[in-house]
Amino acid sequence: MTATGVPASSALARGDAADGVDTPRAAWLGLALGVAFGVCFATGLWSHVLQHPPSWFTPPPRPAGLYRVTQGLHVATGTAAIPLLLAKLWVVHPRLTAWPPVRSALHGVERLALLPLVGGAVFLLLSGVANVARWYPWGFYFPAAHYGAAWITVGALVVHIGAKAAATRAALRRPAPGPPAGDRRSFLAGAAAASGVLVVATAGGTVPVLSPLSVLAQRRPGQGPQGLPVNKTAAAARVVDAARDPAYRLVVVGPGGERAALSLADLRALPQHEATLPIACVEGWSASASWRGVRVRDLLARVGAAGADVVVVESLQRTGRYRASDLRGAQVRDRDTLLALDLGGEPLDLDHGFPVRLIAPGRPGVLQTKWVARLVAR
Amino acid sequence: MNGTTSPRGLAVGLALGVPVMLFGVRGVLLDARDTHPAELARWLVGAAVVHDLVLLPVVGALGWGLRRRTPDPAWPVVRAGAVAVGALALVAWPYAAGYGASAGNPSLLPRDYVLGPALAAGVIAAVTAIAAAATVRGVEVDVVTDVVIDRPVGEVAAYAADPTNAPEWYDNIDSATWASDPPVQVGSRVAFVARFLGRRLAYAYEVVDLVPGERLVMRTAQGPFPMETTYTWRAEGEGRTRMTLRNRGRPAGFARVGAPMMAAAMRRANRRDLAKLRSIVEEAPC
Repeated sequence: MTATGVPASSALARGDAADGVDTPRAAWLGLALGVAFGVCFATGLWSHVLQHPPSWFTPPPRPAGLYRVTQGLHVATGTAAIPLLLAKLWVVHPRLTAWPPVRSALHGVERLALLPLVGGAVFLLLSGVANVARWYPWGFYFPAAHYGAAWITVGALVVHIGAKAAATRAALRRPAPGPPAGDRRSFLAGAAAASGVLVVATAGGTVPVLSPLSVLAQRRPGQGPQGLPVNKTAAAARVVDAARDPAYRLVVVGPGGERAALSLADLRALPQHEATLPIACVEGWSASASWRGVRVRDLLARVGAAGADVVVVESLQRTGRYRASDLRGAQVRDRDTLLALDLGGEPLDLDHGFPVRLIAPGRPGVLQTKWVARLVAR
Repeated sequence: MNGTTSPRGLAVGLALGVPVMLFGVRGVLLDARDTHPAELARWLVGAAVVHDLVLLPVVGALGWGLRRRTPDPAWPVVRAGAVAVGALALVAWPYAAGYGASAGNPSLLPRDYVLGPALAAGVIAAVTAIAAAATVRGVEVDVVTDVVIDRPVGEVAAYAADPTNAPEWYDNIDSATWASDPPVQVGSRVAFVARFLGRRLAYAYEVVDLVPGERLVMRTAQGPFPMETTYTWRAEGEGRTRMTLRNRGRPAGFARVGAPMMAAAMRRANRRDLAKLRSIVEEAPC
């Protein structure tokens, strides 16, 4: 104990009570934000590698519902972080105008790292919310910018955690001087309550029981053609005529150039399989549905490509980032990887990918290619 | 140095974090066609600047105005409500503005994003106002429970009035020790250790009224929840006793908000305790 009655080891925490910042508040919020950004980063990386798998990575098809969980968590955690981040910045804002602004080289470096940290954190949450609201007030491509900013922000977060870990530990262990603990608790409880309100207000698109309360959900469960929401319509993808063309043929191409062309009637004549699989969107909503169609592996067998390791699924769409997607390894061979003809016992709606669409376990929704024109085995 | 920064920790953080940042910058530059590096940099810096120079002062001004109109005890509740409404409004803004609406896809953004958030904000504001009013007025918790015991008044009263018996029949009380000389009389003090709603509480009761075989009143003024506990005993037919247990108090501080829940928990606990008391007294050897 020191002469002032404050344990010596909390000197770090004591050092800045004078600058108007209640260190325990900053520490608790920092801890919560560290966890939230950690969860968002991990689930975001998962989403990224599923959509852009590096050559050494084969996305696992199982568990089938994993992506709806990780992506639902990504969006919900990011949403929950909004009040926490604003509360944290509010608590530490007296330091923004501290004088002198830079007291030493190290202090200067630490403050410099706050710019990418604060700018990056605010940008990540803002751009995430905007993307779910389909608001794009910028020229860059959201996923690429969000992904790049995430690395920069997490790097700055690591610098910040390094600089503050000791003080955070000290502040969480011992009550520091400052406002009464009751006010501290109620402030933190208020921030947590606001997080809860935002999560409930947005999560209804993937947790149906919350839907009546989810005044800001991007989707309503059961709303859409055949009771399932739609991300891109046939009209928006400019495939209406091609999809309705009676001359439509699904073309399957083997690695040696073998080809098979199947009409809709040919496809219906093949063995049909059923699977209940979710559509899980990067924007956080997801919905399970019952699909019926032809196994991709059965179609590949017709061109001698039963053992194919990579299959490119191409849409009737002429352009667009998601006009084609890859199936790899176990995804190709999974018994539930289907070219679906039916949804909920009826032929697919045009907006769900008529005449046939890909539906496979564990994939982000944008990779469940609709209006499939060709399967190309490599 | 800032008082909370550890130089060694910062060095470790820089060693680990800077490569991660550089990896991000490299990725942005390599993918320049999609990331528009110059525009992205403007957004990253702009996000910090707009937060610090616009949002922060606006929140500060609104908070200051609200704080001035709010009585001290209600501030924690009002602040929490305001933060929730503010956060909701921030997220609701792009939805309400209709930036993302798509005419051809009615399953996308299917709700009324002005009415819904406005209703939610109204509900939060109403709950906040009710809780704030309760906080300012103070909410009295007053829970009365009773039980009929198949033993004479004298026997029941003698057992229940002895505070050292409390740990036997109160589920929540772990120990009771005399802080004055026994037996129980007006002015007696007893120290209790109890658990309530997951928290360990140590408090002292003082007996303020005692009519043997009729009633006992004791009171505590400590802790966030000053309480008064009253036992009464009345003959109910031949050899039977009706005992009532009344707990009355006015929670202080933030505990006020939880008063209704606390009363419900207390009622459940008291019923259970009286049932236990009955079984102990009825089975006591005569």
